[in-house]
Amino acid sequence: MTQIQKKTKELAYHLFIICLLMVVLFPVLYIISISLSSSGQAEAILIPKKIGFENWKYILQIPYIDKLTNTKVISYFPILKWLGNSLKISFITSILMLLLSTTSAYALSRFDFKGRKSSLLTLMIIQMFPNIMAMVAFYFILDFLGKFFPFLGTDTHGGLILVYLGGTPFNIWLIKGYFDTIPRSIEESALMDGCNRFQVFYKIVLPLSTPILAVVGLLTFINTFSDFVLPSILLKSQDTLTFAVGIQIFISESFSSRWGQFAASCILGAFPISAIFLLIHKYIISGLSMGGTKG
Amino acid sequence: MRASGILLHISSLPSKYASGNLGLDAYKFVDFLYKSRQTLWQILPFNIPHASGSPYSARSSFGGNPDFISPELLVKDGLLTKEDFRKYDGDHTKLLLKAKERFSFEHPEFLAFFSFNENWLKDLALFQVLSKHFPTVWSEWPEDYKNRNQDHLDIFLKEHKDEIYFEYFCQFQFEKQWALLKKYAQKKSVTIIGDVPIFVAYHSMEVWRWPHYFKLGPNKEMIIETGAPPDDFSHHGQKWGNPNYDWEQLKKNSFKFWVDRLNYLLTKVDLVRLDHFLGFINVWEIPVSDPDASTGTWAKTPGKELFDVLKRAIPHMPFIAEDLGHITEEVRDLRKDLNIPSMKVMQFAFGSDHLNEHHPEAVEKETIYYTGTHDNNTIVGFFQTSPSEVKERIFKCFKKNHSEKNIHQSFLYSLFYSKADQVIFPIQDLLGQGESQRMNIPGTVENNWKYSFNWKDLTSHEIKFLKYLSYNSSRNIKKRSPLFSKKFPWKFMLPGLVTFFLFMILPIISTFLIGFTNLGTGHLLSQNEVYNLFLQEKYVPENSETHSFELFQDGNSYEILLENKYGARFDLSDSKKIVPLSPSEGNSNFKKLSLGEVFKIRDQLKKISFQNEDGTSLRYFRTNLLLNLKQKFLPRTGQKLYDEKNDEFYIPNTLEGFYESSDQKKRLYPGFTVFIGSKNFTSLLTDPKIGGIFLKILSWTFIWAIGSVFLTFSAGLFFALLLNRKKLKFKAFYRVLFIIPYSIPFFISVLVMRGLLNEDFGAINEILSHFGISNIPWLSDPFWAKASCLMVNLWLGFPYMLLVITGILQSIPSTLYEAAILDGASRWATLRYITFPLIMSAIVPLLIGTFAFNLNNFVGIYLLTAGGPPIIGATTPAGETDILLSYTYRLAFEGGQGQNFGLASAIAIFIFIMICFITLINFKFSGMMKEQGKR
Repeated sequence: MTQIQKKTKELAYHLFIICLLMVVLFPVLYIISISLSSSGQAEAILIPKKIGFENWKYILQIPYIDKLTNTKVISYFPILKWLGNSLKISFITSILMLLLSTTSAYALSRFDFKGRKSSLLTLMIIQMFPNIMAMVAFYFILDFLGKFFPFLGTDTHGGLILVYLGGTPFNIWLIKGYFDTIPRSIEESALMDGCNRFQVFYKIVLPLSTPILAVVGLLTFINTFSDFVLPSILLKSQDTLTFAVGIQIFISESFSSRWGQFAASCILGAFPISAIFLLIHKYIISGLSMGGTKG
Repeated sequence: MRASGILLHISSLPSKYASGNLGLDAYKFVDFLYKSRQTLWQILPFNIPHASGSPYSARSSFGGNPDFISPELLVKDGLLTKEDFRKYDGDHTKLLLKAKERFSFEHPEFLAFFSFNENWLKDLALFQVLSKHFPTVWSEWPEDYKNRNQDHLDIFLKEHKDEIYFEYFCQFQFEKQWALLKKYAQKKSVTIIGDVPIFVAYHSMEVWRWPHYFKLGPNKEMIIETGAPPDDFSHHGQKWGNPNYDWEQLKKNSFKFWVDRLNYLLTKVDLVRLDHFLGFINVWEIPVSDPDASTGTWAKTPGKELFDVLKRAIPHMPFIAEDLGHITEEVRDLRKDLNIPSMKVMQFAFGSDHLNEHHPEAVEKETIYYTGTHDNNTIVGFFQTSPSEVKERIFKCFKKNHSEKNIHQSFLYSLFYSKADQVIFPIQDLLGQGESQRMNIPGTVENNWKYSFNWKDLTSHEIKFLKYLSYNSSRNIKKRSPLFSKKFPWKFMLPGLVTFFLFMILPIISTFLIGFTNLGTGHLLSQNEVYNLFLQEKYVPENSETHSFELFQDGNSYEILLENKYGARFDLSDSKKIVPLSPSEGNSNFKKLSLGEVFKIRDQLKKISFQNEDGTSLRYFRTNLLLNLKQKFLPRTGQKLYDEKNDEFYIPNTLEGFYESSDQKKRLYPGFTVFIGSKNFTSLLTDPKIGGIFLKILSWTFIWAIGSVFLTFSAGLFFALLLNRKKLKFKAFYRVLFIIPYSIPFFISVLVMRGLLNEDFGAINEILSHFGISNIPWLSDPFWAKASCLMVNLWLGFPYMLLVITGILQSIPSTLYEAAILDGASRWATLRYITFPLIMSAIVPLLIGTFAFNLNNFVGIYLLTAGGPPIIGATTPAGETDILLSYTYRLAFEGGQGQNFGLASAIAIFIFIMICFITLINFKFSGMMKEQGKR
C-alpha cells in the first residue's frame, strides 16, 4: 500500500467514526441548539434560525420581552430553586452517607464477629428491594417522625434525605473492599501504642482511603441528583420539589410550548453531573462492575 | 513462630491409580493436618521424573508429573465420565488421553495459562514428545533436533500436534488442580514446603535448551559430572550423573535461570528447601570417564553473587538450606548471612557420646528439625538396626520418657519439645512403620519412591496425639491479630444500622405484610377505626322535631340557649363530648353570635351532642336549629353493630374485611383491612382478568430486560472494537464523546427522548418526513412504543458496555495475539477465538447485573411512555409497555379504578424474590462475595 492509500484509509476510518458520533450525539446537539433558538419551537435542524437567550432568561427567572406578544415575561416556575434543592439534598446525602457507611464498612472489614460474612450477603440482597414499593411504609414512618421532628416529616427535604440514607449497603460494600486492601500492620502497631479503635479508624484508615471516599461521595451525589422516584412521591409542594420532579412536571404539562425552556433547563441540570461523571468514570466503572449499573 | 508438620510426597497419598495424586485424598490429608493442628506439609520435587521414578532426577524443573493429575477431578469438569472409569485398566495415561479429546483448547483459562507459561511450556512439550520418538539421550537425537534447528522443530511441532497438545493439556490440568489444592491448604493454614534439586539431569529440557549454561564437551556431551567426595558412608564417593553449571555463563545473564526456576516453584509452594546447599559454595566435579568419585576436585560456585541477585528478585527469601554432611565454615557463614534456617536430623544425634548439633538438646532455634528425611530409615527401622551402644545413648537422651515399643513416639516427643522453630517428621514415624516402609535407600535403584500410606492407619488416636504434642510444646499456636476482635462492634455498626433498619428493613417487612392483606381503596382503615366510624353515623328519625337555638360567646367559652328554656356552657375544644342541657334563666352576659358567626364554627358544633333531659341527643342542623339525631348503629359485644331502625345485626366478616348483615346479603362501606392470606398471589395466577395481564406484562418485562442487555452489549462491543484499533488517533477523545449519553442524568435523557419521539412535533418524525416517511406513532402504538423503549435504552446504556469492554480488551495480553498471528490466524479468527471468549468470560456477571437493573428500570419506562398505550380491556391500570414495577406503581399510586396496595405489594414481593435469585447467581459468577485480603 502506498502512503497516500494508507492516509485515505485512515481518513475514511475517522470519517466513519465521526458519522457515528453525530448519530449518537444528535439528541445532545439538538437540545443545545433548541435552547439557543429564540423561537422556542422545536426545529429539526441543528442550527437555530435565530439565536436568542429567551429560554435561558426564562429558566433563570430574568424578565424579558416576548417578541410575538410584545409583553414582558417572567417565569413563575422556580427552576433555579429546584436545582438548588437538588444540589442541597444531594450534597447533604453524600456527606451523611459517607459518615454512616465508613464506620460500618470499617467494622465489617476489621472485626471478626459472628455472622459477619452472612450479614454482608444479607445487606447486599436486601438492598435489591425496589424501594418504590415500600412507599406506603416510607410515608407512614416519615409521618410518625414528623410529629416529633417536624423537619423530618413528609414533604420535607430532611425526610427525603433520611430515606436515601437507608441505601447504605452498596456503599458499605465498596468502601469495605477498599479497606480490605489497606495493610493491617500500621493499625496493629498503633493499637499497641495505645490508640483506641476509633482513633485508629479516623487517624489512620480514613486518611488512607480518600480516593474511595471521593468516588463514593460523588457517586452518591450523582445518584441522588438523578433520582426521580422517591422525591416524586414524597415531595408535594412546588417549592420543595427537586429538579428531576420539577422539570418532569414542567414539561409534562405542556410538551410543545415549553420545549425551548425545557432544553435550557436540561443543559443547566445535566452539565454539572456530566462533568463530574466524565471526570471519574474510570473509578465508577470499576466499582460498578461488581454489582450493578447506574441508578 | 514455632510450627510442626509432616513430610509426605504427593505420590505417597493413597490412590487407586499408578501414584498418589492431587485429588480428594490430598484434600483429605490437608484436613487431617488441620484437624491434628499441623501447619507444615513438606513434599518432594513434583516434576516429571525419569524412568527411575526418583523425584530428584527430572525431565525439567518446570511442569508437573502427569501421574499426579486426579482423574476424579476431571469428571467435575465434564472431561471424563463414569463409563471411562468402568473401562479403566490401570493405564492412567489412557484416561488423560480420553479427557484431552473432550477438552477445548479455546477455553480462556487455558489461553491465559498458555500465555503466562510460554517460556517453558512449548519446549517442555517438545522435549517430551521428542524423547518419546527418539528414546535415547537428547545428544544422540538427529542433529537438527539435538541442536534445536527452529525450522525442523516447527515442522515437528506441526506433525505431532496431537501429542504436543496432550502435553499442554496435562500441564494445564496439573497447574489447575495444584492451584486448587494450594488454595485449600492456605484456607486451612497449611504451609506447603517444596524442594529444589541444585542440579538438573543431563537428559532434561534445560540442558537441551540452554546447553551454554552447562559445562559440556564440544559436542554437547557431558564430560564432567557432579557428586560427593569419599566419606564414612561411601568410600569411593558418589557420582550423580548431573552436569555442573557453567556458573560464569549464568552470572552473565544475572542468574535469570535460577530466578525463573525458583519463581516458578514459588507459584506452587510457600517455602523451598534448597537441596545440597553446600553446592552453592563449591561443587565436587568428577570426569565422566573416571570409574568412581574419588578422583574428583572441588570447583568454586559464585553462591554469594547468586543470592545477592535472588534477594532482589525474591525479597522475602522463603528458603530452607539442606546443609547435611560435612559443612565448612564458609557454607555456615553464607547460610547465616542469608538468614536461612538450617536442617538437622535427629537420627544423626547418637553416633557418638559427643553432643553433636543434631542432638535434641543442642539443636538451635533457627532450625528445621527432622526425625529423618526421605533418605533416612524410619525411626522404628533405625532403632531396630542400631547397635546396643546407640540404643543406650537414645535411652539416656530420652531419660524416663520412652518405651521401646513406641520408640517413634519418644522421638516425636523430643522433636516437638526441642528448641527448633520448625519440626517435621515423615508420616512413617507417626505411624511407627518399620524399615520396609522407607521412601528411599540412597545408592540403590530398586523399590524406591514407592511408599504410600493407608487411611486406616491414620486414626483419631494420631490426631489426638499430634494435637496434644503441638499444644504442650506451644507449636502452631495461631496468633490473633489484635485488630480482629470477636465482639460485635456496636459503636461502628450502629449509625449505619439504624437508618438501614428504618428505611430498608421496616419498609420491606411492612410490604411483606401488606402483600397478604386487602389494603387499598375501600379497605384503608382497621376494623376498629371502621367500627368507630359506623358508631358515629347518625340518622334523622321520622317525625323528629327541630329546636331553635341561640349561641353566646365569651373568649373560648360558649353558651347555648335552646328555645329560651335550656342552656349549657361548653367550649369547642371538648368536642365529641356530650353537653347535658339544663333549665336556664336565660340571663347570659355573653355576647350573642350572629348567624354568620355560627356558620363559621359549624364544623366544630356538628361534633357536639347536646343531651336533652329526656335523653334524646340533639345535634347541629342549621345555624339556628338543632335536630334530634339518632345513632344509626348501636354497639353490641364482639364489635357487632345493631341497626335499630331496620332491626338488623351487622357482623364483621374478617375474611373479606366488611360488615355484613346477618343474612350476608347487605354490606356496609367502607370495609376494613384484613389479612386475606395468599389470595393476592393466587389471583395473579388464576384470576383471568388480573393473571392474564400479569403474564403479558411479565413477558414484556423479560423481553425488555433481555433486549436491552443484548442491544447495549452488541453496540458496546461494536464501538469498543471500532475504537480499539492500535494506531488510531484521538482514541481517548472519541471514547469520551461516546460516553456522553451515559453521563447525563437518566431522567433528563429520557425526557429529552420523549420530546424527540413526539408524534406530531418531535424532531425524529420531522427528519423522517424529509425522506417521505409519514408520522410514525412512536409512543402511542403498542409495537412502536415498545421499539422506542428499547431504542432509547440502547442509546442510554451502550456507553457503559463500551467502557467495560474497552477495559477488558486492554487487559488481554498482546502476546496472545502475536502467537495467534504467528500460527497464521486471520483477523476474524483471533476475534472469534481469542477476543470474544475472553470478553464473555469477564463480562457475564455484568450482563446479569444489567439484566437485573433493567428488570426494574422504572424510570426508563415510566418517564418515556408512562406505561402506555393502555392495554385494551384491562381491569387494572395496565399499559402495553408497562414492566412489572411500573405496573405495580400504577396499581398502588395511581387512582382511576382505585388503589390496590395489597396486590401491588404481592407483585413487589414477587419481583424481590426474582431479583434475589438473579443476584445470588451473579455473586456466584463474579465471586463477589470472595474477600480480598487474608488474615
